[in-house]
Amino acid sequence: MQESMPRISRRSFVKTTGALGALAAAGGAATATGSLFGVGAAHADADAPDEVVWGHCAINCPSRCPLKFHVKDDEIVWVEADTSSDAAFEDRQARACLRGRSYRRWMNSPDRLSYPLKRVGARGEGKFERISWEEAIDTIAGELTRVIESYGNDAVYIDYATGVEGVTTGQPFQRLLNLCGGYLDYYGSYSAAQLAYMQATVFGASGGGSALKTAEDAELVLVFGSSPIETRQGGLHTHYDYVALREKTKGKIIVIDPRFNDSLSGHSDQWLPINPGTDAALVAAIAYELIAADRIDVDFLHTYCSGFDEESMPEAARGKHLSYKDYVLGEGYDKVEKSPEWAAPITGIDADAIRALAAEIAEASPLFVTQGWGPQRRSNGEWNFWSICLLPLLVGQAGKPGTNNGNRESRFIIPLTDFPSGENPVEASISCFLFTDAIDHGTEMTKTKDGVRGADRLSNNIKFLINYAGNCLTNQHSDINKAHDILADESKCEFILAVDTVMCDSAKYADILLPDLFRSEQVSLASTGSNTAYIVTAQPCTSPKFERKTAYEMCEMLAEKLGVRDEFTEGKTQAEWIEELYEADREEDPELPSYAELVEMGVYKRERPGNIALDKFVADPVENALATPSGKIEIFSQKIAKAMEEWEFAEDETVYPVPAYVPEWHGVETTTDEFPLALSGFHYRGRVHSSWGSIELLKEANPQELWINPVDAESRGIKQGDRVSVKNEFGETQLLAKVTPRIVPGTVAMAQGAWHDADMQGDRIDRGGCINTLTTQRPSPLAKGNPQHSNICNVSKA
Amino acid sequence: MSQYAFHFDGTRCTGCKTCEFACKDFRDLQVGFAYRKVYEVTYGETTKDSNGCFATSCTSYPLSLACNHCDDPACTHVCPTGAMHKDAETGLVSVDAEKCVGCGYCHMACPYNAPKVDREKGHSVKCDGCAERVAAGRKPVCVEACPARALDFGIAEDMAAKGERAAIAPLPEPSYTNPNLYVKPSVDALPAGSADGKVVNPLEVM
Amino acid sequence: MEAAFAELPLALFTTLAPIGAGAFVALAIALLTTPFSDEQLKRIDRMTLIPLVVVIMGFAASFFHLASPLHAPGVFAGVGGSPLSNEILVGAIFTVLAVVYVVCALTGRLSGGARKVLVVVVAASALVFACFTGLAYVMETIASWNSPLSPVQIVGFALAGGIALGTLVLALSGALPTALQGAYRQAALIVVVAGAVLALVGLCGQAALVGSLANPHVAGADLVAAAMPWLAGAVVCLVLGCAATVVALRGRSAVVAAVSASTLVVVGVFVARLVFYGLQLSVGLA
Repeated sequence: MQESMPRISRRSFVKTTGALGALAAAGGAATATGSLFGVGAAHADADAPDEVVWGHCAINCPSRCPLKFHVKDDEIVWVEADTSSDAAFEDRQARACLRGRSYRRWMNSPDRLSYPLKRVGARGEGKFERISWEEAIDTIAGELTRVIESYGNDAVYIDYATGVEGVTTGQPFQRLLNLCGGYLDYYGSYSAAQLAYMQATVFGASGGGSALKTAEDAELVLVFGSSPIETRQGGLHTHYDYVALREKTKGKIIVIDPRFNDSLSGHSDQWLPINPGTDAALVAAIAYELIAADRIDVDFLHTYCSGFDEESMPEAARGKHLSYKDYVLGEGYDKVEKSPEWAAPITGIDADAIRALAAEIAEASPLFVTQGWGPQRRSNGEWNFWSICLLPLLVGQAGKPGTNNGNRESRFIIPLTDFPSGENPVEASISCFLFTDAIDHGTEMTKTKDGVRGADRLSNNIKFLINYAGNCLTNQHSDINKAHDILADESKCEFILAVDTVMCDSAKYADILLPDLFRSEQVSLASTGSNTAYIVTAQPCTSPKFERKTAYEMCEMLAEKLGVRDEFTEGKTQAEWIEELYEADREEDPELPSYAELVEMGVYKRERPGNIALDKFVADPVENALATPSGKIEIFSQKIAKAMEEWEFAEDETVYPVPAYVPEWHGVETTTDEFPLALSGFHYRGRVHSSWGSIELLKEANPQELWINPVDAESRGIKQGDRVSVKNEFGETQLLAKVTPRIVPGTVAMAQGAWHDADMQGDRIDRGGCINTLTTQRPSPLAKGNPQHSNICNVSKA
Repeated sequence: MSQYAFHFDGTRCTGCKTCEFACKDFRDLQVGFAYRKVYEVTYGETTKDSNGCFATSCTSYPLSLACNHCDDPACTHVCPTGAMHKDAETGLVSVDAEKCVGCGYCHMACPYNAPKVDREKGHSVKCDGCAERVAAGRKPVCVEACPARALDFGIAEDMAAKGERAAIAPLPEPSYTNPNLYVKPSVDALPAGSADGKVVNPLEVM
Repeated sequence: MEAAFAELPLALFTTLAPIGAGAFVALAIALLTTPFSDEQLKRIDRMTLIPLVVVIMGFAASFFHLASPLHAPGVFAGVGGSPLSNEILVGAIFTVLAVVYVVCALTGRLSGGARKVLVVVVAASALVFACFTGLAYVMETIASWNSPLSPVQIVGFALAGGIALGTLVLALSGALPTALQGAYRQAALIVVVAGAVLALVGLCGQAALVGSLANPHVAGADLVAAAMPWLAGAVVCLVLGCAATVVALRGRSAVVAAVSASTLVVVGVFVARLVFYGLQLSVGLA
């Protein structure tokens, strides 16, 4: 590929010092003098060519695009991607999105951390003082030792954090703690907790979906609550794959979503608006229609599934009208027929439209049903996920070309071995979403009430917490006001270590805050993919600035203090670990280029062989039986039936052992006079969760807005661009109104991840439009996952 | 002379703004300035009937737009100093910073919202078609950045072979300036001048 | 109206320069209609510095509009093509002529005949300048400005404002009573009424025109609605200003009336100019 060397306008001294001034302010007493970054650039030889260094995005976006950093005088001049001028549409290039192209702004952000900091104000107040590395390491090691000695290793916790997700050396703190006796682990994720729980429950371990390109062969593509354009951006990931699918498939695409999302832009004929959280009701009504029209593929269901009808129920559950068919026909459970007329007011989809859709589904072959992670990130998310997976099974459209199992499309990734975390001697783990409960009242948390795993109950509250590259203490956790109260109380969690690149909201709760290097400022490796798998590499694009260090170096220093340095490093640097582990992987996969070649290439790509969910199982259901109690796909779940007997559930919690529609708490059917609107979050092009959330350039072109239908806006006197206040029992947040027919009436939506901006010592009104001011810490019933899209609220002009 | 032109594929564009930000990074633009912007046109309504069921006529599409390096540029016509000029070889329109007086007439005159006066820099600024890159055999940085491959750039005749001369809303009729922008419209796209073809994201583009 | 306030320097320029220029029309009428004594002429010439200063203040304000005022000499490069260049050229010619006139007059180098010829030339160039100031905004891509109403209103401002300011010059010179004995009163009345009519027709006509326009970004009716209080204020000031001019032309409390007239017209025109910029509506995206 040809490399041109365009000349860049030089950055002015004023601009650089301006950023530094803000940096100094963000760092409290941290002084920024001496090695002012960027100053030299103003005197750079304009004719000298840029040096081009490969790096990559390392954040919680699966695209993880390769980046080409153009560097001059140890400063990034601009950021290119994997591009060439002559690439045709079919030539796969990992083209970074707007965020990747804004990496330089993040790396030089005024919020960037440069020195080790010690908290001097109240927790969460954000007041810090610069300290030496020595003092920082001494304090952390001392506190860790104290907590382990006073409470035990299970009082130590590493919070869910995904700021550097995907890199092979992203978990050095886990390894360090395992060398010190272990820590309380978590399970699940904020991304897809309900899905993960149900995927294992329904399909066993191997429940992943088909590749998205499988849908190119489909006659009908049904997309529930998914927008790859917004959630998986970039030129070699699902963003591109989805554009390609739209172009290549001869099938009809229908996107079922409360929001006319960006993946629908220009293709409005594909939108079927639905009330949020009611997907299972739609599926039940479609099932009702298919049963009435005798279009159910009963043979398929009897062969491959357990629990559709009485005949295929597990022995112990027979004779009780517990099958899905009995649920649908009103013979069991709530004794209500799930007719289209029943579903219409719930889903917002007209009964005739449901019948028409059922007819299309009955006719379509192949049928490709997929879903995003929105439907499952709800208070009834387990059943939404499950029911969507059921839909293709009803018509026998699974395991063959052009079909999917209803799960989200799977991604093709070349497996690489991570820097080993070691064995964790502590067996107990909690749902990652419940860490504030475990700080507040961990010893009251049990297996049957709170989903504690590996132990019947916790024996300690969390007393020592590490938050490495994450913003889930507050910003991305739920009910920020409650989280603040728990975290700010120093008698509860006694020590918080945060490691980050920027002063995000969660970092403000640190007792010691350490300045991290971006993964493109160190040697790094990550593997990812969608239709195409690719491996990305990074070499340091600049020298480490100020006193920033890699997490590996921090852990190495701590390990030294804790007497486990040799065990931690095994005599190797991070770069040496990366190379060694990769070369070991290459022995298993000789197609891979050598490490040296890989570093030179920057990005290595591999096309996916065909991938169809359940194909092996459908080909031979006996030989390839699923790891479920029945060995089949569970439409009636014996595991959930058992949990219903053993677990404790709240009074307003309905749990079904079949993929029934469960009316949500905090959902469209449970709005109140005080909070008459449902509120859902979504992913925004301008951020990945909260990453990039403070970059002014991105905020300017991607304003934080509340999507509100003109019907709901007019009755509240709200006009496009007005500043509005969104309130519920948990708090108040303010943002701008986007009055648009792109959202259904009765529901409002705001992008998740905006930076929380409230005076927590004052009125606590968030002026940043952070949705988690309004979300609940109550988990979903089975997965104990975050139901962050299930909220009710009211909206008024601010 | 070979006039250069952009091509925009409305069937592929997802409104992701990578084009805009690749440009902003490459040209080191700060808040308040964008040489390429993405306009959202949305029309129709989504309503709920007495039974709680939705009906929608909502339609929405994005348009990525920079300078169109017009055959008859409004900006060069009104420019008092000749700073805003059209290159004889490539037809690319750019600003000569040494001549520009910063009067803003180009900004007023351009119906595509392309030039804007940067008072700090002391002159009008806009997309120059990445003339230096093009001279070096590359395409403009926005075109090479597009993850969805919705943008292209090349000799006007080649681009014209891929689409109609820019005549979709929210653009004005091409007859005013004869823009070198050729468009393959999405099914949702409205014709230029359509009363429904309003820009609904003014904060992001003005 | 937000856009309008970004154009304050331009609004000042297009207020002061045409009114200052228009005062030379008033002077020309006075000089053509009234046989002043040498002493009166001397005082008039000294007071003629006022409109000249007003014009120069206008040009000075325009420099604040420019991002690179040092490049201003380059604006003549576009003469013939760029309406702005044409405006500045004509403005420069007028200003040079006006300066030449004032300097020659003050230094006593103008004989009666030469004075009349020169002042007529200055007055004529003043009107051409006012016209070109309006024409600078007439462009096909800005639908709201692309009509004769743009130059018409500025010519109107120049005439109405010019008579007010010119009458003030005469009043301050103590020469107004002499002028009012002759045809000046009637001629000035005709011009001030004509100016007021042109100004109001131009201004209100434009508002009516914009109200019927829309582009993908904005509806003209919304622009007009936002500008309406300002427009009303401008009309009131202009009408009162012209009325005050009429009072001055009746000779009663002439200085007070002429000062009031000039002030009201300047304020009215300035607000009208803000309205003008507030009514910018492109055929495309602006």
